[in-house]
Parts: sequence; C-alpha cells; structure tokens
Amino acid sequence: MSQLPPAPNADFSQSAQFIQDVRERIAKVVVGQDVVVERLLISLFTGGHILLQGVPGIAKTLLASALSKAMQLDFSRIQFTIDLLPADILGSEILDQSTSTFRTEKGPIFTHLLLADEINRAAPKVQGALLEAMQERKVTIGGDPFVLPAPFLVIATQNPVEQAGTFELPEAQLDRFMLLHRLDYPTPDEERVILRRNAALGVQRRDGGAVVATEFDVIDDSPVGGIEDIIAAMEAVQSVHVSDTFLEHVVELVGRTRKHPDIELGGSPRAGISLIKASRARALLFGRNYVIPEDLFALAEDVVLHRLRLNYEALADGKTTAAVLQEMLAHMGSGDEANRNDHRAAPGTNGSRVTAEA
Amino acid sequence: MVSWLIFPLQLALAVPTVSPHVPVTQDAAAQDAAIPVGVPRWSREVVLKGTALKVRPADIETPLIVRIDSDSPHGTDRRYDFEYYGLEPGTYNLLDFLQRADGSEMGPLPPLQIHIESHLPAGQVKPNPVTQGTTPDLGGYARTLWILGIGWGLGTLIWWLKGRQKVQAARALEDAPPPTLAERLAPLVERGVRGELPLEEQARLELILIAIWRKRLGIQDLPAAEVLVHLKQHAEAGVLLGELERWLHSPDSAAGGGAVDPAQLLAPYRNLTAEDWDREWEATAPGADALGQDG
Repeated sequence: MSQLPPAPNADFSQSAQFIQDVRERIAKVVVGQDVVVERLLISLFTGGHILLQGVPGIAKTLLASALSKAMQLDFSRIQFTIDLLPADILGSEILDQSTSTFRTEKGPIFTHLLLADEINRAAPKVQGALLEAMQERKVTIGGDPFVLPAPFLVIATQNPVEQAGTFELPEAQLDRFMLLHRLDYPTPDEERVILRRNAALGVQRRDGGAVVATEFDVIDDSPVGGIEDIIAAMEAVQSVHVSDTFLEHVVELVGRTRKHPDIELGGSPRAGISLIKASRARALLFGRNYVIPEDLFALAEDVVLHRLRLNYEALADGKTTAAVLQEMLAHMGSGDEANRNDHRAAPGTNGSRVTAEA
Repeated sequence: MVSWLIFPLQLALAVPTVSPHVPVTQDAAAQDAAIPVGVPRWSREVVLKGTALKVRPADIETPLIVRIDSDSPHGTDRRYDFEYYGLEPGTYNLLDFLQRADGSEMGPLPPLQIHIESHLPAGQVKPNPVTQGTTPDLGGYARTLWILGIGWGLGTLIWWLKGRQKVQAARALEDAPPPTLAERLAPLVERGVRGELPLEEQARLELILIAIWRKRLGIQDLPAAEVLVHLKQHAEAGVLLGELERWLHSPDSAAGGGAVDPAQLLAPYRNLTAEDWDREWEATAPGADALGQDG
C-alpha cells in the first residue's frame, strides 16, 4: 500500500520513556505550555527549527533552558538588537598578541540549543547569517568552515506587538523555520499555579549575599537523558509509518494553499515535507508508530501558516491567514466546489450540506 | 444586246469579290465570307454609275431581300448604302435585285456578289433541335458574398446560443444546492464496502466522515486542531475514526494484516440519505439546531 521505504526498526519504548521524563522535568518549572514543549521536541527530533511568536514574559527562555538541562545539551541565548553584527553570533578571528597569530573565537551559535530572542530586532544581514547557518549547519569564520554541533536547534522568538524598529522576516526566510508557534497567555488556572510557585521561591544565598530566587534557580541540573536518547528518538521518528492516504491529505492541503483565491503565496514543497516530518515526530510523542489526520490538523497552523501570504483583496476584506487556513482545513475532502466562498445551504435542509463545513 | 449584258456578269463571276474600284466600307473579308441565311449585312458607300437605282419589286419566292438605306449624288454617279439578307443559300449579284428608278437600262456595272449559305445540311428544312447547354453560375461574386455573410451570421448565432447555454448551465449549477455530505459519502461507502476504493477516494472518505461527524456534533466552529480530539471523545465517532485510522494509516493494515474490515466498518453508513443524517443528527444532538446553521 505505502510507497514509502520500509521504516527502520526503532525502540519506541525507550524513546517514549525519555520523552515522558523530559516533559515531566519541564513541567516542574514551566506551568502549562504543553503544546510548546511538544513543538520544541518535534523540532529537536526532526532537525527543524522553531520560531515562537508571543509577548514577553511567557517563559520562553525558561523553557529552552529547562529543555537543554533536561537533555544535557549546550544552551546559548542571544538577544537580537539593531546593532548586533554577524560576527557577534558566528564568531571571529582574534589576534593573539602573545603568539602573533590569529585564533578563531567561536560565537554563541556553537551550541546545541540556541535561543535567538527577538530575532526581528536585528538587521537583515544578521538574520541572514543566522538563517544560513540554520540551513547549512555550518559557518565560515575567516575563510575556514566550522560545522555546528549536532543536534542543533534554533529557538527564535519574535514579539508580535512592538513592531517599531524591527525588521520583519520575509516569507522566504520564514520558510526555513519548520514551525512557527504562536504562544498564548496561560489559562487562569495555570496562572494561579505560576503565581503560587513564584511566591514560594524565596531568597537564594550566594557569595555571602543573597538574591531573590527565580524559576531558573529551581531548574534541576541533573539530566533525564542525553544525546544518545535524542538520537534514538530521531531514529524512532524515522520509523513512524506514513500511509499513502496521509500523503494524499498533505498533498491536498498544500495544493489548496496554492489555489485558494485569497492567497498570493501558497505552501512550498518544503511545507509538505515539514508537515510529514512534524507529523511523524508528533505521532512518536503520542506513542503511535503511524501518523493520522489528527497530526496533520494539529500541526497545520504551525507548519503552514507562516508560509502563506494573503493577497491585497483578502487583506482589504479584513481576512486573516489563520481564518483562511481554517476554512481550507474544514473543506478538505469535499472536492473543488468546496473552495467557493459563498456556499449557502440549500433551502429545506438543516445544513448537512458541504457548505455547512465553512 | 444580251451579250452586252452577259459580258459584265461573266466578268463579275470571274472576279469573286466586289470590284476594287468600288468604295465599300464593309471590309472585303466580311464581304467574301459566307453570310448565314436570314442574317442582315450592309454594304456602304457603294458608288455606281448611272441614274438612281431602286429595289426591284420582289415576290414571295425571292431568295434575297435588298434595301437601299441611303442614296446620294456622288459627282456624276450615285452613292448607295445597301442592306440585305438571304433567304436561300447561293451566290447572288445585288444588281440583279435593283433597277433604274427612271426605268432605263442598268448599263454596264461591276457585279456586287454575295454568298449566302445555310448552316443546315442540304435538304434540311426544319431548324436543328435545341441542345441543352450548361447553365452559367448564377450570382457570381455577389452570391459568394451572400453565402459567406449568411454563414457568418449563422455561425455567430450558433456560437452565441452555445455560449448562452453554457452560461445558463453554469448558472444552474451555481444555483443548484451543492451535493450533501451524504450524497458525497454514498458512492465512497459503496466502493469501500466492496473493497474497490482507490487511494484518493480513501482520503476523501476519511475526511468526509470527519466532516459529517463534525457537523453532526455541531463543532464546526472549533479550530481544526481540536476537532479530532473532540470527535475521538465521542462514543460512536471515536470508535469509527479510530477504526478508520487503523484501516487507512496503520502499517499493519498496509502490510495486509489489519484486523479492520471496511465492509463492517462502513455498513452503518450505507444508503443513508441527507434526511437520514438530519434525523440522526437531531436525535444525537437534541437542541443543536442553533449550531446546525451555516457559518
């Protein structure tokens, strides 16, 4: 039935335990945000990168730090600003006066987990340097190529509200992020837990003095797994079965983004590839050895949405990319006629017609 | 006297044409040429000596009809224009059919010979039967223009009518209600039960079943990411979708070892009309009418 090559055998139970441990460890310091953790693990296991879009103060850095410590991964954080230079990220050659020779000083990009905070605040030249490194997984300093560590995951963030003095990432560069996840505020229940936990942090004595403890101080430094576990999970992802029916769903969705009358720029083939990759990783996270439509519907917004651009007519009509994507997802499987925007239920029916899915 | 009269005639017979000294406007070739019976000919500016001439009275048997068109003085002579046509084939001298107006003798005059011949064979009295010729093209260029014009007009009319039909058909299709989910589902279920569902239609079947249950439970407004989570919590939909996923997506099923029987799985969905769906929906989700509205 399937046209895909047979999947290699993988130990699902080992990966499942590892994933469960990581999630529990992160949950100790980060309240809620299960979906974000899921997306981060998907990115890590598939070799993709993730862009988190949300307001400041919703534990993005804490999440990345907790993830790196749980997995015993190196972690760097770069605050992107307008005066940042590519060398500040990649590294540079420095003249060692003692030996009168140049030595290479590697930048913060040489890490496993890189948090690129507010990536849209840096100049396009810096954004380009990072995105190129993300794709090629190597950088060139002073003419010498350097391979980045493996695994290598960029967790970039951008603030959707303060747009003054920012450089919006163009669709071509956004396309290099496998996932763009839109963070939301915690629910009231989660917020209560956050506040209670924070209130119980107390003071941390240090170097004869004391500082008010933060959530970073309570992150358990002992890892629940290491790179070998990540590699096992990556192999397990590759063994997740993708049926031809699922491929049809992906092809239909990507095709619809290219034909929709409100969309100027549709999904690239990379969008379809990313959907499959992310769906396999999600299936592993949910303990399945095959992907199902639920994976597609759950990931479509994060994988596809940032690759689409509405045309001027749709923007003038006040439509949003998210609404158009939801409309496409609702119409999937209902044939080409479902693309019409003016569907109305026929008189005398209560709406069981295809139009009702709009 | 007779010999005096015969001599010029003999002389004229010896000369086959009108004497060269006689100014005749009709060219010699035409004069020599045989003249068909009944076809008029003219000899103009013929100058003859002597007094004025007039046509000799003719009877019913005369073989040649002669008429003097004009007669005018020409010095001491006279100048004539003759018109004549033959009734019997033969060679004639025009002078034989003239006489002096004053009744005097004709005197020695050069002969004015003509030859009349018949196109009919010798002995044939009645005319040849009429032969049927080819009819020439009627109309010519004007007719061609008319044909082209009418063809263009007809073509335009047909094109316009066809286009109108297409527009009307498209409008009718647009005005027609879209097929119901039940109508879309029915053929897929039938083929699925028979195990004849191709790959693309398997995908459609799955998505339509999701759409149907989404509609049936009134959760159209939920984001797509939450729909399946919600559906799987439903007792009937959850079982159906779970089995469907095992059938269509599981590697066991792909290897041919799946325990899912499509015929059994889809049996409850056979022969369901839109009305059936509506009734079941109302029974399943009482009070969900508000959710059932489009939008």
